[in-house]
Amino acid sequence: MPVSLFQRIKRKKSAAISEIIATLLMVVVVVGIGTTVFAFAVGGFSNFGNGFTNLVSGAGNQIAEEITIEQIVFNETAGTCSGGHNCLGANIYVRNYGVNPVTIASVYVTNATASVFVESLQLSTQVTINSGSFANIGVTGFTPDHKTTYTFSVATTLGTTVTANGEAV
Amino acid sequence: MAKPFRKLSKGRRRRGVSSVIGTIFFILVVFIVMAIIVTMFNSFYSFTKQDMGIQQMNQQRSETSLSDASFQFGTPALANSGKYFPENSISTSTSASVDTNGPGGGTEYTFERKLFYVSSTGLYWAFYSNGASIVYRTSPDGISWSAATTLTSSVTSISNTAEGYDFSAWVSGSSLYYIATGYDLGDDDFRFNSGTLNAPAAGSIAGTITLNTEVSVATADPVYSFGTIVVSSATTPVAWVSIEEKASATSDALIYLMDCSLTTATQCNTATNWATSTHYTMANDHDYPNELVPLSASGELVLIYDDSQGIFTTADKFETGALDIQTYSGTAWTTTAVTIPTTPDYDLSRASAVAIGSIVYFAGYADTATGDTTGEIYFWALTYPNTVTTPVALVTSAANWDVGVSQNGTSTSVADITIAYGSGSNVYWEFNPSVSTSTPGTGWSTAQTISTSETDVSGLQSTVSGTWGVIWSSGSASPFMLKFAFLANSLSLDQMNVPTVITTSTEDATSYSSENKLFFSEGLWWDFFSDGTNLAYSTSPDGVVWSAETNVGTGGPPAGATAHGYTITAFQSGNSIYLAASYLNGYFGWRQGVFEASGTIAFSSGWNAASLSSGETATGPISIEVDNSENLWVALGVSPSSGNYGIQVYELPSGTGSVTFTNILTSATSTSLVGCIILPPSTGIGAVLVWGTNSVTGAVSIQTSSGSTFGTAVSPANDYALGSSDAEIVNNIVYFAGLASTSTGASVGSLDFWDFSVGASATSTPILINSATEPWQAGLIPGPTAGSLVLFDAYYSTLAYYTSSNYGATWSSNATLTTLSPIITGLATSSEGTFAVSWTSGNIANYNVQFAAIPSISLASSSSFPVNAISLYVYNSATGVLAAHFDTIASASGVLGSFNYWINEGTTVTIPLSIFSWTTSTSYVITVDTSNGVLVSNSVTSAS
Repeated sequence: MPVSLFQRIKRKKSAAISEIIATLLMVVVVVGIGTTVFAFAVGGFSNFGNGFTNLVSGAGNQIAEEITIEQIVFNETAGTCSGGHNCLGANIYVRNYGVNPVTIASVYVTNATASVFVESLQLSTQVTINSGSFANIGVTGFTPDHKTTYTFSVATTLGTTVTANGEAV
Repeated sequence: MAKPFRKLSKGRRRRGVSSVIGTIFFILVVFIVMAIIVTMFNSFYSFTKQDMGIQQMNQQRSETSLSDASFQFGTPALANSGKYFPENSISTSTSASVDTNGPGGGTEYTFERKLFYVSSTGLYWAFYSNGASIVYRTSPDGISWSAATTLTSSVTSISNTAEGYDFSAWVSGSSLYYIATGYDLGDDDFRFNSGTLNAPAAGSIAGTITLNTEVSVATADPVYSFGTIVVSSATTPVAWVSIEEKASATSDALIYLMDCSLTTATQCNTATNWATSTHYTMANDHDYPNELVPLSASGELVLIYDDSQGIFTTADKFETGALDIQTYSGTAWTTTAVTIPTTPDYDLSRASAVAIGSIVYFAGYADTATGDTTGEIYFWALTYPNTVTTPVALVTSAANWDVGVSQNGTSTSVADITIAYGSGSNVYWEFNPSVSTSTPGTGWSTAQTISTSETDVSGLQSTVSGTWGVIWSSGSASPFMLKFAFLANSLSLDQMNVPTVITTSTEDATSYSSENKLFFSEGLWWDFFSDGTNLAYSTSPDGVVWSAETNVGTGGPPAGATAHGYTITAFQSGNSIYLAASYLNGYFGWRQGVFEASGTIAFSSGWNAASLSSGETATGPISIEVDNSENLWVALGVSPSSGNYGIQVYELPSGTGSVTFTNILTSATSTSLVGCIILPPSTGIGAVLVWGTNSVTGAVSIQTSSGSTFGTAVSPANDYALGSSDAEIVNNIVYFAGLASTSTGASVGSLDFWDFSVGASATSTPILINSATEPWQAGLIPGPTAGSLVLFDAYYSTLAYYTSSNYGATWSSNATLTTLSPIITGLATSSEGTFAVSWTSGNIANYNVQFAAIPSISLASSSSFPVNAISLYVYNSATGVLAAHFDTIASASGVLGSFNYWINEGTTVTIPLSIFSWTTSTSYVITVDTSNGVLVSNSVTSAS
């Protein structure tokens, strides 16, 4: 049975479309799967890598944090300091002798003589100390007792802490 | 046939695309994973490396061994408490003796104006009577004053005596105008002159005046008393004189106002150019002071007088009566007076007034009780022409206050007023930065003390405007002392509170700078000087409190020599001290002793005198050293019979038991006094001699001897004044600093430094330490560590120091120790490793021998590697106050000075520090931090 021209044309046209579509579909599928696998792989490995790097880097930064409390000066007389707050408390001079900047987050004060925790001072404005520099940190909110030894613990944002004792006059 | 191919080719093409894409993705994933792995390894490597570094630092920290070997507090810084005001942070005031003067107080009376600050000259100008003439002195800083220069002696001829109140002056710009008058009807004229005030020459503090010719101006009637001169601010300025005259002893007194238009600078030096403008009649027969005040515009004037009051005697003081005010519009005087309220009653001889814009501000001694002998200081303001505020009492319960009124600055819109007032033993000042004419009594500061130790303060004068100062006479009998005070607005907080070792009558008590007079041994400072009669020393454990003097000249130098400090010098070797003295005749002497902790010197013998070569006379400059074989060497300036000055060197060989010196070197080539510095070679025996002209610049020669003769002279570039210079020797290198000039015979110049290696053929190229042309004096101290030098310098009232850590190749900027020590002479620095200096200070006798020490800390390291000390805290553990903080971050808040020093393995370094405030007998905790976080603390107690 002879095939009419219309039928030939119709058959020919149908075959071409499916072929192109199939090809396109295959490319889309491959690209999609590839992209998914790539994204998953990249994301996963990247996360893993970043996590590891951050872990190591953080650990490195933390162990590289080197600070010391050089001096403690007690303020035992009420007065108004800069910012309008009361000066009562102490000033501690903290030196960063490490290679990286450190950020001081908080200071803890303990009455070592009476073994009593005095206060936890979260610095409203974190103090960043560059390598080799020092900061004079005002520790307010407590009244130093005469001839009493206080322990000051300075904590950085990375968790490094240093402590020093000072006796109020 | 084509079908299978097409199928195949199409199938392959499809599979190929996806394969390529998949492969690309795979490669990307692999690449990224590898990159991440590499990054991880890198970070781990960094971590490991960092950890190793940390471990290394911890190891180094654990092995750091540093100790605070010693701490010297030095001279305490000047206390500034109670000297501040919110308006302008004025810091402190000080007074300085200016001169003695003649009878009656050389600066009377307050309203006549005798003290000015002239900005174009940069000088205070003080005019006063010395009892014979009207003289003037000038000062750039209110501390050091020039010698007095006579302005006019005519006051003596017209008044028989040169009282301060026979003279009145006025300064307009850089022009000076003055009048001198007689009194009690003895003359019918006054003397007028004008001139130009000139800045001092380079290196001088003495301003000069280019004077015109003094002229006698006839008055209408004989002069009774009190003339005042001012110059108006008219477009063409007019000189005005108000002068009290009387036709006869029984006539009413009159205040005549005479004027002369200054169409040219010398216009009023022609007597006929003066004319009487008007006069006002007084009511009775007393002396009538008056305040003549020029306003700042249009030639207006205000005359303040009292037409019914007298002064001076208790009986007529504060009698009832009003002050009258007449004003001049620029063209005419008023005929009707403005009357100040009848109470209080004023003593116008103790009052003064200034004008700012169109307002006159007046302050004077007054009282509301008739016939009272004590009163108050009243203040009022007059807005031109006739609006007067109600007088307000600024100071109450006072007796005979002289009141000087000054304008701070030169603003024509802001009434920034300072008053100074003195009486009896007290002088005070207070100020109001913005006086209100509606409430003139408000806004005044509290009274500030200038002095409470005067005797019969009189003739208080304050500057008219600009930079403030006050001068007064002190004393109950002739001679009176003139004293001056000013507000040191720019006083540096780190200036020291200079302790006085002893008061002396000679201004050369510690001269010359080239001689050695200050030592540290047995825990004591030993300061040698002349008290004007004896050669002596005082000791101090802390440089603050000094012992009474111990005479060391007995049995040695004659009286003529012991009256001068420059005749004695010394050399320290361990705790042995060798003294040498120039006898100012044909001899010099020496003696040796041992410093003892008790403050005494155990001398081995009395003075040993040695005669100079025949015909030679010792002139003063002298130097002594002991070489490594304990041979004694003395060099001294001499004046041979030929007339020229020269240098001689003598040696006393060790172990000879002889006191006979051998004349090693004689030179007689200079027409100027010759000075010398003789130094011991660091190795071997002999001497290194540095010599040249002493008081003025000249060629310097360096000659070395290792035995009996001195080698060829080596000379540095430039000329130097040996008496204003100093030299030290370290490791056979001579370090020299002093007054330098490119010309011979100069007494001012630059401050230069150079060095000379013993045996070399030339000195190093001089380094310019300070290029200012001043009469520099230098004192050099080698530090105890390799390369360190400390150089003190002084001129006039300023004392500063520099440090070098590389043997003078480079120097720090100068750190001022004080600007408050009048006319510093004879800078004597301490021996190696102790940073102190002594000098003589004062404008007139008596002079003060003063002392200053730079604080220092000695750090000893037994580490096996260099240690970097980066901060130092001095904490007062008694008061809980941080006395000082020195840091590598020198610019940080609260840090007094830089602190960044390396201490090499197994060495001790003494580090000079900036002065700071400390108190005696107080416990301090000294804490040093290193760059690796090792803290070293030590507790020390300041000296009692």
